[in-house]
Amino acid sequence: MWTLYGLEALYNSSGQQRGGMLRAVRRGAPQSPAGALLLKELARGPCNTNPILSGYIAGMLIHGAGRAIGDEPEGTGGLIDRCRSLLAPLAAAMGDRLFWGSVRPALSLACLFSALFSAVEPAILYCLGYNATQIWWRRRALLVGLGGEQAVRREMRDGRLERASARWGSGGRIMLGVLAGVVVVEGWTRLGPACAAMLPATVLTGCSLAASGRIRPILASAMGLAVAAAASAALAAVAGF
Amino acid sequence: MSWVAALLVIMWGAWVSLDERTWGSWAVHQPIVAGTITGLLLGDLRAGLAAGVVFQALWPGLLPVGGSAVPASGLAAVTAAAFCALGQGGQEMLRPWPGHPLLLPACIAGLAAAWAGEHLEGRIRVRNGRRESEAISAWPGRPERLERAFRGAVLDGAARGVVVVGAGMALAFGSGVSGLSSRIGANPWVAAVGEILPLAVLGLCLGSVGRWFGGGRRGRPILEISAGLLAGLLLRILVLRP
Repeated sequence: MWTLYGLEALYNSSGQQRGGMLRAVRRGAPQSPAGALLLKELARGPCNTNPILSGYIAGMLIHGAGRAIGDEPEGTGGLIDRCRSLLAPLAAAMGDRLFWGSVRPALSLACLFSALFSAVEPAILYCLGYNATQIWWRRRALLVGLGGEQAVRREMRDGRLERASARWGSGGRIMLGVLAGVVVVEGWTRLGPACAAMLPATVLTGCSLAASGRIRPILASAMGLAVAAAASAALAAVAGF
Repeated sequence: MSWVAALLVIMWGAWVSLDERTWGSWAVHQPIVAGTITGLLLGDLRAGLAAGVVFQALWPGLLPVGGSAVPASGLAAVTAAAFCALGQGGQEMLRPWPGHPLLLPACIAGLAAAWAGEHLEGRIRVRNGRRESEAISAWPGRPERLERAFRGAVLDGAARGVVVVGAGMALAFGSGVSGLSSRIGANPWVAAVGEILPLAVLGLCLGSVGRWFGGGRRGRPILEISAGLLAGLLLRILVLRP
């Protein structure tokens, strides 16, 4: 499992995670002609999946290398093709939606709330929440993957990942509302009614920037920061700072 | 600030860079964590928290669409936190959200660091492509070449952090940031913006995450956000009093 933490180290545009996946599978695959053949097939083309759920793919390949018929892994060529074209992209889509699209934003909102009220040190909250989640899923993905291709297919069919995304999404939406309520009251209390004009302007800007998929993130962030700075300056003037 | 503290911050930048692109992640590269630890290393936790809050709100969940490189959010927070902490002059907590008079110039420096980190990531990927090709061409006869390629990639990742944070610290010292705070104090606008900026950026965060979580949806998502809003209002009014 620990080798999979280095999956992205050799990331590049042509092989993507190939180097990292080769390292991880080589450590776990049997030292046999079957294992060598599977690794050779894996090295022929790119590989990309969500790093936290990469255990599904790595485990499946290690399992495939171990199930030898003669000197060849059972159905090696087909297994690698199915990994590359179907299962790895599927794990990538589900994993990205869960971790980048639900877990991280939800934890960000929780730690921003914590930063306002110093309930728990926000850095500790984020670290504990994220690492507990990712370690659990990494371990699960590898254990399921080591059960073979059918076990991975069953896992993806049974909706566990979708349910996890939905739960984190619900938690994130509730946290969004809580933070919004708290920010509105704090702003009004500390900076006066003029805050009621500033906050909607920045919220709308945030919405617009998030909706504009064509702008590069760094440029969108710079634009957002400029709007926030202008709004802050206007509010400072009105509030008499 | 001592040389030891400066060295620790640069090494911390290397670790943040590794966590972001090479070995992880363990959430260390998230701005709130990276900024807070930087503030702790430089003896000004509030400065670190202010920078961390702004960048965490600006980038609550970066999505590498199609494997694209994303802004180096962790390095941005480390650079901005170092700027604020070196400048000193942070006020006592007058408002619940952490602010700092130097937060605006610090965030500009942080954005520059994020861009630099993203650009260097692109260069590292090109080098990784060459390394990997050489290792694969010798596969499977020479597996140690893959390990060597991996070590090279790890060194590049660490170097990225050292270069970006080191350049940020050099800029901070070169611009006389410790004297900047007294000049900022004479300009109330920049200081006032620095105190209010976290609240404004929280508004941006609410908008962008709201668009992501609830955009175009009806029914349950809107109910969940509304329930949270009501809970937040009641929580603040009844429980979390100043």
